[in-house]
Amino acid sequence: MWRRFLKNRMAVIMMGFLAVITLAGVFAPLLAPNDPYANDILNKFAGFSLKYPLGTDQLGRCILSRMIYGIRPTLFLSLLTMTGTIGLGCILGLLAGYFRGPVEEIIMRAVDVMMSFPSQIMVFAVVALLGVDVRNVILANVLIKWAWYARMIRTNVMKYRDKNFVLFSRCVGSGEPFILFRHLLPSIASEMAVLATLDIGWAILNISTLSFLGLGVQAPTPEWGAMLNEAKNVMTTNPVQMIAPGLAIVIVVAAFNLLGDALRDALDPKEVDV
Amino acid sequence: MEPVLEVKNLVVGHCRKKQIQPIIKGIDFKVFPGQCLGILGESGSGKSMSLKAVMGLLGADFSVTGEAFFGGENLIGKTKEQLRQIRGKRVAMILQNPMTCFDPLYRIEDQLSETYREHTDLGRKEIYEKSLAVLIAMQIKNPEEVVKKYPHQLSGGMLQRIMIGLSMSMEPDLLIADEPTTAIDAITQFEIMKEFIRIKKESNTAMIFISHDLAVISAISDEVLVLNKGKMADQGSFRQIYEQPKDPYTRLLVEKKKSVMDQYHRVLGRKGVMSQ
Amino acid sequence: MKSYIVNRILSAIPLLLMISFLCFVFINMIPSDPAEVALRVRQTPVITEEAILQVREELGLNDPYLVRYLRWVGDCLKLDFGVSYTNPSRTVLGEISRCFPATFVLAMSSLVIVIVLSLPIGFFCAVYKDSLFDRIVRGIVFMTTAMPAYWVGLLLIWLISIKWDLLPTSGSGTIKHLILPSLTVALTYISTYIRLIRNNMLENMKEDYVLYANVRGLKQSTILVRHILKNSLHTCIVAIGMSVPQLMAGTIVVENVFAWPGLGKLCIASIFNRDYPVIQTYVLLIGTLFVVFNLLFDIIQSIADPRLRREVS
Repeated sequence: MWRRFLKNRMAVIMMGFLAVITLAGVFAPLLAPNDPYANDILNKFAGFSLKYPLGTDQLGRCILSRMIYGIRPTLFLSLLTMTGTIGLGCILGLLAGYFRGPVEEIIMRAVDVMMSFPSQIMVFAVVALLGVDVRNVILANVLIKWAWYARMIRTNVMKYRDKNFVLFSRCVGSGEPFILFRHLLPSIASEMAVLATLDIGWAILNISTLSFLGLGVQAPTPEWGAMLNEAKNVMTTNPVQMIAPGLAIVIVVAAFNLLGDALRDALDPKEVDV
Repeated sequence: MEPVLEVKNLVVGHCRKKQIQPIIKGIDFKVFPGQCLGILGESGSGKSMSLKAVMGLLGADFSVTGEAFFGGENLIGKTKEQLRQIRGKRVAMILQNPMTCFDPLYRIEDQLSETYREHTDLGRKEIYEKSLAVLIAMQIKNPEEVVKKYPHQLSGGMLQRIMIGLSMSMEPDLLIADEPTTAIDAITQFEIMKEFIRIKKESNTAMIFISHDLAVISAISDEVLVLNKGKMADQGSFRQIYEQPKDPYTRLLVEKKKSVMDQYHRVLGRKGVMSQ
Repeated sequence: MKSYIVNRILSAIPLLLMISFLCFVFINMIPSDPAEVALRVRQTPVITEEAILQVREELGLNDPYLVRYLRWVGDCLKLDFGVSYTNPSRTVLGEISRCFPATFVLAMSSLVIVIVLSLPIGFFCAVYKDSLFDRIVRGIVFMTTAMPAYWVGLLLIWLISIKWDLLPTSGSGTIKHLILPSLTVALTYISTYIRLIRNNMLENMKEDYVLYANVRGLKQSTILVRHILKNSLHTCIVAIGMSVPQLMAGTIVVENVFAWPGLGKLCIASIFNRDYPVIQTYVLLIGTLFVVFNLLFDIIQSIADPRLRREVS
């Protein structure tokens, strides 16, 4: 799989690009020309200059620095969402697929209900119930997305559980949890990687949307969605402030989607269409 | 006698990423009026592909070269529109899976009449009468009812017979039957074969019969062409092929068949009944 | 046929019960005490312990959970969803029905745009697969899946309303106000449906019935429109129909960008004001719409498709 992956030029380019973005986020204090919180009210709505490469916003804060710092919450929160989703989905999916019986029955009914309910509305309902906060946004996203993973993992576990190597290790006398983690997880990891990569894009969009509405990351923090929320009011005077974060979201999400598609091609050469 | 269709050095390739993968590597055959050419070969040997290529039924990602004379004209190199006008009218074709060959959203009547509208100038009433006549000719009971049904409401054998009837009602010069007995059960198979033999006797239509089944080919063909991996393995009358196969591949096919038939005859012989 | 429809309607009932139960649980999980809230709504000046106990008794909050749930469902069926917390003089029903028409208009006009644009584009992409047109459309489709809807809305406002001054930036009232918001809502769905129609048609092209239609010498245009397109539409129209409630839900973000006075704006405002009864009713409404539209289009499909239609012998 790795060799095929490396052969896929698109996958390598996107992987490299995302690595650069991540590093930029990690080393934001070194890269950013200014402090993202420092107001410079006299210089508000400044144009492009050496000091402020992308100009300043309505409080005179450096837009470029805020963009670079904005990588942190965007990537971190979406990765956190995906970790939570995959974690919860994995545990419940593995339990359902491996033990069957009433455990499976209960989990799968829950999955059915989750999947029949409109996900967008669920996010708003959960945030409304728990209060406006980033943590709740992530929790809401995890709560609406885990069902997909649980179902996918259960189907795969069902497929793998009767394969010889699993039966063999049971004969040898390995414990159930050992079998689960040692054998089943690696065999479904690749498929999950594709799904998760595609869903990171979804998570970034979702979190930034909620931040834009003021339900997620709150105003002074440099996050792309929240920046757009502020930019909305000063659109007439300073369009750069609105275009830059939006473009950043599009590029990063597109990169994740391309990477996901490329990964899928690398894993399954049959599905090349769209 | 003039052949109805004469194919010379037909080569078909599949283009994929600038590379051309050869599928059919130069085959020739002829078929005369009132005669039947059987094309024998395993699945993937290029039997039906070669005729689809001649009739212009392959996608744009296939390259077709060679010559195919039909009524004095070379079909290869003709435009799509010219080929379309020949198809269905002068050359009829019967396909393998009758159950999936009709559009599930239209009644049989609609699908028959759209074919007639395309190739004839008949009016609505005449078309309806012609459709009924097709069903009656194919010995289908209650034609008024059947014509109003959707494809999924009819059996495979029934749909196959409608297909044959539609083809023959156009009085084509050439009838191509592409594995017409493969997807239907044994009893219907027998009925359908009887139908083909009747057509051969009654009309002067040339026939190309494609099959992987030696027994089916033997029942109807005058001349047999054996294909293996896109190449001609053997050609001759059925008796020739059966008794003195030149090519090792043909020999293999025939021997396999013979041993099965021997077994069949032994079993039947012991029971001592049945001759047909 | 009839029995299928009856069965299908019956099967929707447990799902509706589940949704209503979730909504009921939701309002009972809120951090504040309903009795206290009720007192505040009545503008009682001093809230005493006794008053709370009295209201609890009065509202039946001491009854078992199931009794309260059944009573609440009964109220909902009578369209009594309680009063708004923030503005006690208004009923939830009044608020919802005040905002519903605006959202409905927005969702419907988006639906029209989605159908009018995605059908022909998807059709031509499939017919001219891998042509320049197809590749450009696929590129655009790919980009739109990565674009946040609200940002597209902002860009449209900036370009069309501010720079070129062609259409109003926000608000509602005239057709002009409707164009930008409905375009924004439609955009995400257009790309989904272009892809759906394109792939569905390409799938259909591989079917035997298309080969046989070619064998019969039918015209290419007849095959494409009468056979392939009709077969694809059967699946796609059902999918588009089922997405109507999704469009309604999808307006939340766009309504806030364009200050469109619909349900989405009401919902977000209610979240900030902790106006739980309104949120609860909104969720209940959208959930019910989902179930109803799924049901409706399932039945429509079963009537339209001869394979699913039972014989009336």
